[in-house]
Amino acid sequence: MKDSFNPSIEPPKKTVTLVSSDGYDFEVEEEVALESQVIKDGFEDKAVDDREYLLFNVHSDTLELIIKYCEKHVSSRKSISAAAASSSSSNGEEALKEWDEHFISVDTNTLYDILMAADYLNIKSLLDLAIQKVADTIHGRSPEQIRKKFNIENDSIIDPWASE
Amino acid sequence: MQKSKMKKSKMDMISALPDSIIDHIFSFMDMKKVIQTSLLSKRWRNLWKSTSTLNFHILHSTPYRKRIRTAFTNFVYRVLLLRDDSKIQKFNLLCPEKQLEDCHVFSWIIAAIGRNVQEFALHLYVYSDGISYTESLYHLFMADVKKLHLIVSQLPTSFCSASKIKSLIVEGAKLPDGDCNRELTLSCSVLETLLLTDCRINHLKVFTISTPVLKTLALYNSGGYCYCSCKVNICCPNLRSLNLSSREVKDYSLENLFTLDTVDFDVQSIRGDEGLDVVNVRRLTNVLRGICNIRALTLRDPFLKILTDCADLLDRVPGLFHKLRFLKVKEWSATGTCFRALAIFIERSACIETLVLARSKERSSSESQEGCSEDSLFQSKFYCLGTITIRDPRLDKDELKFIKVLLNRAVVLKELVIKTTKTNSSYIKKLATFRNKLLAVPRASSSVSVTFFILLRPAGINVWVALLSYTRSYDSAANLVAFLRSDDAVM
Repeated sequence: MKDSFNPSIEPPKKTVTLVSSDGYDFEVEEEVALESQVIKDGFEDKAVDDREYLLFNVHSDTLELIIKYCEKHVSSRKSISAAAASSSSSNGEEALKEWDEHFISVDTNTLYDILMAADYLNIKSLLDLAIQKVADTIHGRSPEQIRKKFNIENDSIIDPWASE
Repeated sequence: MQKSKMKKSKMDMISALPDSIIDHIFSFMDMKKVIQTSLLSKRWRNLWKSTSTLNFHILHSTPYRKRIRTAFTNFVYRVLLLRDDSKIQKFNLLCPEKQLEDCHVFSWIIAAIGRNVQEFALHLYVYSDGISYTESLYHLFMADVKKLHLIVSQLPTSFCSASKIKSLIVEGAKLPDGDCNRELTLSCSVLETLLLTDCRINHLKVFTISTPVLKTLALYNSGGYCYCSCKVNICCPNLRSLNLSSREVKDYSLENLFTLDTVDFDVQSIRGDEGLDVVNVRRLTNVLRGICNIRALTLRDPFLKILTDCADLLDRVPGLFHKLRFLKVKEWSATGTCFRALAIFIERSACIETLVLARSKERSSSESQEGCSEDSLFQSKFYCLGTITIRDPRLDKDELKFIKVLLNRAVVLKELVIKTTKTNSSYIKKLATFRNKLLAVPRASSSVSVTFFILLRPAGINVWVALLSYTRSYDSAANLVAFLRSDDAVM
């Protein structure tokens, strides 16, 4: 808690390199990368100077978003725990929820990319956020509207909607 | 790049998702909508059959109630009959009015238990005498269900000995009658979370909660004042968090709560018809004795007043709150009396690091505004207080005085945060003047940051905007006002 007030005294942060499917390197702080359960699981086995992860399924555009999300969550978690040592309700959490809502307001393709990446990297909170968004999109629509929205081709042999 | 994006936008991404993710999506949807997706394409036709979360929700208060009820009942039966034999993770049934017959609900519960259901949420309106209702709840308590959320009117006796439930939430129910001495003991061996909201225990003499691994307990009453003669024993050696909010003090016996850390406590009044009620004072003393070692406390304004009302109350419990680190006062009324009460409180618990004052509702202040003299507030200095948060301050003289004294005495204060949800211009003008006055106040700590936040709602999304994070050298009240004006459009 004290560190956040005197950043100059802090030791240099350890970093991890994440490599996207199209070959871009992203250097992120260790704790940000550890938001991903997959990275966390194999983390201790790796040598300190060999902390590079090849993410074959994640495009650089998506990875940038994912890192943004994790950084935000790590930093706000710190500020929440600093503000209220133990209270469960805090304004910081409200603010984070709003930030999330804003973050996930993206087009269908980006949403899909985030969803797959969150699933691949096993970031539970992000996966839930993306899935809730998809569920909300489906919920207010008729089957025909859903097809249109998600470009689903109707290949059913019997189409009850066509016969009407 | 551009081209691949174009190509992508024509693709059907959602159908390409793995089944497990689609099942996850379904878990956020009502069953009716889930079934509808079977019409989308071949890929979707059978996906609903293995849904692991079943959400059934009947809408109420429609003129064709009977027809809807029958349709709903048939729908639930058909889903249960036609789905494949995969396990059910979660079963949610919400029908808040008296619409369904007990026997149907019973069948559904049994069917779900047969599929190894882990979590159950039931919101039912059922009369207590229905035999099949009691029996179905009995099966639920005996089955391998981990989480249970019940909104029902009456609980059967089997509730006390549920041996596999880890998390139990009950709302608005009458607890079972207990034994011949009207004594009821809850002894669930693996229960970790228990929330009893607005549950009636007045018909009991003694209610004992004796659960070895319980971590979180809430006995919350939102209703009006009623004298409760029932004695509540809490023997939970692993309890960490406790919420005992209600208007009146119940007869609690809190013993051996060594691991207790966080308490939410609230009492509106302990006065009887003639001054202080002796019984209530004794009860309150018991509670305070039980929680004297906690580290975080949330309370409401009236309780603070009670503490000053009978001054010897705090003296009766030696070492009260000597470890307290975090204090939050809800419904903070910001009157002179409260400042004094809070002052006494903080002075006693010298370890407080964080103080939060939240004013939730706008109240007409019928109370007489007593002034408070600065010197009477605190005598000693605070060597721990690091963060103060004040929400929706009243911005009057007393408040300024109080903050002045706090700044004066808190030697290691790092942050003073003032937040407001009010965006009308007169209030914000006041806020600017208040900020100015605050700037001039001498401080005991050398590194205080004072921050103002305003809640803005552009496009319905809440955003806390930091007005200015200023140091003492930065003095520009004019800038602040200009900044606020420019943002008026957004508000």
